[in-house]
Amino acid sequence: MKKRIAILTSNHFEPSGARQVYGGAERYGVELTKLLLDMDCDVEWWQVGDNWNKEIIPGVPIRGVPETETPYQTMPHLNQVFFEQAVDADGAIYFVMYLAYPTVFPNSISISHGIYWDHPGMDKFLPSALDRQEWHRRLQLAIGGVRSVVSVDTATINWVRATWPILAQKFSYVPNFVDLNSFYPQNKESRSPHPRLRVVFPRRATTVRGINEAGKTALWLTESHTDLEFHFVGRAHDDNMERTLTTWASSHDRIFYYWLPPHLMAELYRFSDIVWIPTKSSEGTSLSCLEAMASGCAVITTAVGGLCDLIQDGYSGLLIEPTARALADATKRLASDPQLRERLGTHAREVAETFSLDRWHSRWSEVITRVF
Amino acid sequence: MAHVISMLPVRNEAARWLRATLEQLSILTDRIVVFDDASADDTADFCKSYPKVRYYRGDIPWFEQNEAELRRHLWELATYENPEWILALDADELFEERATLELPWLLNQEDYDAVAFRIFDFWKGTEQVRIDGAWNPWNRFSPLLVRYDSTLSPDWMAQPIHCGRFPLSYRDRVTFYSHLRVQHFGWARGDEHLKKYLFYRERDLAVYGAVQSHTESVLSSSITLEPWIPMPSPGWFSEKEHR
Repeated sequence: MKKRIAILTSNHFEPSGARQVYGGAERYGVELTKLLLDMDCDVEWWQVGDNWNKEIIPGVPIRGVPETETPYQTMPHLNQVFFEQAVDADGAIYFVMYLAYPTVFPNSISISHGIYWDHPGMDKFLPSALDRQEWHRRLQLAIGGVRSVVSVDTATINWVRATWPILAQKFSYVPNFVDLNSFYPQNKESRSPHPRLRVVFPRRATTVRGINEAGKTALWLTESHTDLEFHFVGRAHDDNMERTLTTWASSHDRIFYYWLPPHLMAELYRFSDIVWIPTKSSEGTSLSCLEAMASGCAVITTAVGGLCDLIQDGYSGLLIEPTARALADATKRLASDPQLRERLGTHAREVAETFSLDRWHSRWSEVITRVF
Repeated sequence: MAHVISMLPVRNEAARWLRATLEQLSILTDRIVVFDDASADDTADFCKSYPKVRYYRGDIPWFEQNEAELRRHLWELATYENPEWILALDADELFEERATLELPWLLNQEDYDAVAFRIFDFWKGTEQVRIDGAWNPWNRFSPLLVRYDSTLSPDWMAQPIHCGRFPLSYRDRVTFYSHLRVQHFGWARGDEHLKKYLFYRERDLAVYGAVQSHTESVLSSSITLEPWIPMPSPGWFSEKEHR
């Protein structure tokens, strides 16, 4: 008999249901759903929403449950509605660690997509020592309540090991994945001649992903380096930002702003030379970073969250401080040194092969089989 | 590439935007299913001059009485072509130019069953678009392209206007929200605004019992416009095309 797996997330769609959030975590959710279906499970999703019903992929429902408050960075009301409404499920997956508070299914897994409490806004959300203490308590209970936690990076596990050593045993390190059959380098000789190097920012246009530093750097370098062009490829979190970026990009000859469905990202990387992942906080093992690496691009990224699990500085990419100046310097270095770009791209591809989608399937399947 | 059919309702369009629309649809789609709502001008000859057009005609105008019935019929005609995807544009709508390169690549996938676009209303010309209130294209997407599924119900919303472009069962399909923009020229001629306002006013009164605020805003003296900004396609799409 098929097992029924219920998955609780915060926002796959915006709460209104009108807009899908396009990011690595959402693509992860789609891939996890496909894996569960392949393992002959029935899958249903829940998230914050205005009582709507949609599909996360064709045939797989996702339900919106009203939730307006996030006390101490948790969603206890959403958690409880899920616990009541998904009562028939044989197992639950809490797509974000804090969602497993205060109640939890006996057979359950939660996922850490990386440390998010390095976000500078945390201080605003948890302004006092007592607030932070309560947030800590809830996070500890959430981690302790589930049978297993899948972490996409080692940074989270090490933080937990240093904070609550006994809870570290709950964790399985299952780093993010890349589909090596879709993301592969294009033979540079088979590319049509293009007069400029393509630099790509393949991220959501948000502050934590470094959009402001990337924008500033693009402006500097379009003036000084006419052999470069810049592609900002990813949706913003709101319409105004997309409008602003569209207007901004269109006022510069060598700056483009657009976004693509996942299957076209692989094509984009094959036509790209340098990829920026200038994250400032809240990062795991970025899918974009892995995809750029698998595509043989020269990657510039930062030592934030799980990115150090992917990039060895000077071998498989460049690790920089998350500042516009550092990004500009690293870009100029790569632009002027084709051998370095080639070497980094070749090594990046080799490293990416250890993060294959097949391996991710295998590791996740082990966890699912063990818990459910 | 995917097998894409476009469906196009037309009525007295010969002197309007039809040429540009048909030119573009001839590039983007494999077949253009046209339903002519009893045109009295050269629309029929115009449409028939395009090889990809499959032309149908009604003798009594439907649109002004029951748009839903017209669109339901057009949908049925389009499904005769056994399409993989169906694109629903009106005769005064055009994708921005870059779409001819990029749109076909959006459809070769299995992850979503619909594609939605922002529609920009050109206002009193072809230079500026209207962005105040419900005219704002930046905060809404319209699904204009769906993957045809013969198992879904063809029932239409029972409403004579504002009845959608697809059957009810195609709502809430897994949708990709595209950056490609659609240009709507239905309000580009200022001298037509009063006539259109009166038409929608009458329909609002018949359907809702009151004139809707969006209809009233047609003649508003306080509107916000912004320039239409042409955007080139990133070059790699054309390199991909020639690979």
